[in-house]
Amino acid sequence: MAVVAVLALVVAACGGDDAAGGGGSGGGGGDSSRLVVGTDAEPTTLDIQAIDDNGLALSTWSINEGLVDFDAEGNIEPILAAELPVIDEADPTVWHLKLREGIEFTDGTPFDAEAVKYNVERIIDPDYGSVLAEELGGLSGATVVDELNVDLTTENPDPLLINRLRRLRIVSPTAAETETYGENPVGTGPYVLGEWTRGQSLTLEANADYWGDPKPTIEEIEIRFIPDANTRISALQSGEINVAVNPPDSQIGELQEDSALKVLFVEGGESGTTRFNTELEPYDDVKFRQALNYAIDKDTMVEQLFNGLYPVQDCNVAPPGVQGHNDDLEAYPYDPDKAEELLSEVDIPDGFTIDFTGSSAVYGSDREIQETMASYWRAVGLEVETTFPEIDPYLDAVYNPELPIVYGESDQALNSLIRQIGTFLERDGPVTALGEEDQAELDPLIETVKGTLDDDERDATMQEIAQIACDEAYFVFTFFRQDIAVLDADIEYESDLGQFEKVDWHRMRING
Amino acid sequence: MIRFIIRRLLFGVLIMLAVTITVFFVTRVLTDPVKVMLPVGSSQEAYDQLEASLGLDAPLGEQFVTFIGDIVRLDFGDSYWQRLPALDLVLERIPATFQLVGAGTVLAIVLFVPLGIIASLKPGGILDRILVTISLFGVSMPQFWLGAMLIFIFSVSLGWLPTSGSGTGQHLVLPSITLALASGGRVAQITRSSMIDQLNRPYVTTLKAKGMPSRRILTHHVLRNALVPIVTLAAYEIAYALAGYAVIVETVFAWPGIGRLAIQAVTQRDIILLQAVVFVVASLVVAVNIIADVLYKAVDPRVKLT
Repeated sequence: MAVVAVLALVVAACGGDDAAGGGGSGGGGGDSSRLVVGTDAEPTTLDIQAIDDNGLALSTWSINEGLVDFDAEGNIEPILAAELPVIDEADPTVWHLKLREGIEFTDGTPFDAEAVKYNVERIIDPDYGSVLAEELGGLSGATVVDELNVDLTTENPDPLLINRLRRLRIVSPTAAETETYGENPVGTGPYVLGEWTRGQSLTLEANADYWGDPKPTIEEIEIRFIPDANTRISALQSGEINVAVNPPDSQIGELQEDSALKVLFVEGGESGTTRFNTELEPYDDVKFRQALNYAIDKDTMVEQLFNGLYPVQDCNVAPPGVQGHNDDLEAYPYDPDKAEELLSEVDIPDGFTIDFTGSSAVYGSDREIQETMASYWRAVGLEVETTFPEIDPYLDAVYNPELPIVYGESDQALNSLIRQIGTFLERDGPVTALGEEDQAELDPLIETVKGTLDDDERDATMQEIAQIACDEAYFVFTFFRQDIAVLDADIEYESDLGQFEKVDWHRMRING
Repeated sequence: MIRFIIRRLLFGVLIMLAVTITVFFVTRVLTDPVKVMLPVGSSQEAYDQLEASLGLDAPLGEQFVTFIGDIVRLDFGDSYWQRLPALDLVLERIPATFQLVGAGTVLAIVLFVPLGIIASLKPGGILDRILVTISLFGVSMPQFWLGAMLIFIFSVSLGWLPTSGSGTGQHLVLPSITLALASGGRVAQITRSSMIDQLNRPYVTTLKAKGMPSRRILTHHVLRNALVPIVTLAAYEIAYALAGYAVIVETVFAWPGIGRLAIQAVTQRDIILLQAVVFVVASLVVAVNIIADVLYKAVDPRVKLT
């Protein structure tokens, strides 16, 4: 105590020379117009089109809106667009887009067809180097038809452009021309940037002239960067912040018991996509792959590693709610006897070892998950050798289809199985490692999914692909990793599917 | 003295150059920043485009020449991820780092040097034993645990101090105590052993025989002689903390210092930012060491500086 008292005196004397004052105490508690959020990842830039980084969405998703976006059920709805874009009847590489009237960016620039054209050209410009260029697939340009109508063109017919468009958040052409756009983002959204003190916090202020609904009720949101998860929760418990993102797994149980807080689980998170090379022996035998699935006790694994927080994968790569999820599929139950039975029917060479490529510090508790999987496989009599490369060599391994089995988790940025199909199952996909026979079976189905303009046909075909991926055990199915946030109990918010970070602050309410 | 300082400065510049060049080659050969920046599943085309726009597709020798030309003008380039001049980003963090390291070191010295001296006067006595225990505690306790405990006690339970962040004197209290306890433990130990060493020297006995009061012996002779190892350690502690050792404290308390920036740069493989961080830190460490050498001379004029 004496130490603290001495310190307090010493520090009070020299505490006046601080620079930016981002860390004042006192969160929102009771004040329904102010919210303080604690998050682990700080954005590196606020230019939402530049980079794909963990910290970006939380701050900028409410500054820059999209032409379209998902609603709470995962359906696409028009936001800045007046209606969902329609594909041209004659030429399937052209989409007609009608824009909402009377919207302005917060710097006064009108939101119109010219603005949309600017945005499209910005992200496909190779000099600018936007990470969205890849995600927006083959978007090749935009033509102004009149003030509120613009035609988007794609390189090849792409019926899924609407899903992808959600990632294109619109920035003000005037502001984007300035060099410091990354620190001064401007959009049409319900919030604008207040101040950003790097390393400490950033503030969002409600846009009083917001065109949409609901109007934001929280006047000011302070986003504080607190990298240590325990400190974040301490800050929540001491009342300094109102929302804490990504709590430590071990504390969730305790937080759920706290009546002053509520724990929010966001559906549609990442899915386990540990993939096989189905060309190599014995991975080419479906019984072998199925055996590896039967051998793992997914429930116990989730229970032990994550306090049972995450749902077990139901033999689907797409989580429930995401397009392409097949409700009829059931998870491979834990059945080591069945696994051994299947293995006895497979032609396994003598001295065979599973070369399992894991990862180190890429996903939460990844080593633990992988070691658990390996130990279940050893329990049914297989030899397993696991490596745990760090991010650099791990990414090399992911992109190397020659490797027999590589651990993976995949996100739902497009809210559709098409993402994983494109990555893992499509011929010549960046990570695809299917043998010729398996690939040939999927080829016509994938072509239908990519080419058809009929939504129902696409959905049905995706579910068929999901069924095949399950029956053929192209993946080792584990669990769906959900985003978790902890909020003060008096906060009302219903999260969209996918990530908490893509939060709609204007839909959040604090009950006084 | 002036010649000495100039010589050391030149030598320091050489060291910084060597460090910078090493980091340049290591990062470009051993890591692939492009891959880390792209979402998994990106095409080769996207990779090539990004690589070209970052200037990483040129042959290594060519990149090196451009690099040397730039850093001579102190232009480290723009951080890959933040797209702002890297050097500015690092310099932004200096005040906060200085505050933390400064407060932590001052605390460590102000609290633990006197304790070390007092303990050394009666080795084996009660005070000595208490001090040794406290030092051991400070040195062994993991900082993330210590920090979390202090937060739990003083912020969450008692509500006296904020849990994290910076900006006011209150925010500085817990992080600097955490930092001070660790280095303070070492400072106390060195002080104690250095003092004991001096107190056992013949000159002390001589002075006592001549009738000089104990207090005068202590303040005018023993302390000055004992200071050299303490100055060495203090310089080392400061340099070590500036070089990023404070990162644990910075992370636990969300303190916006250089350590956290370095970690961010490494995780994101932002080699431009990393280069700037290494450069700035190396300069600070060199500066601290030069100052320490100058202090030796002030403390003990017999020391020959080479």
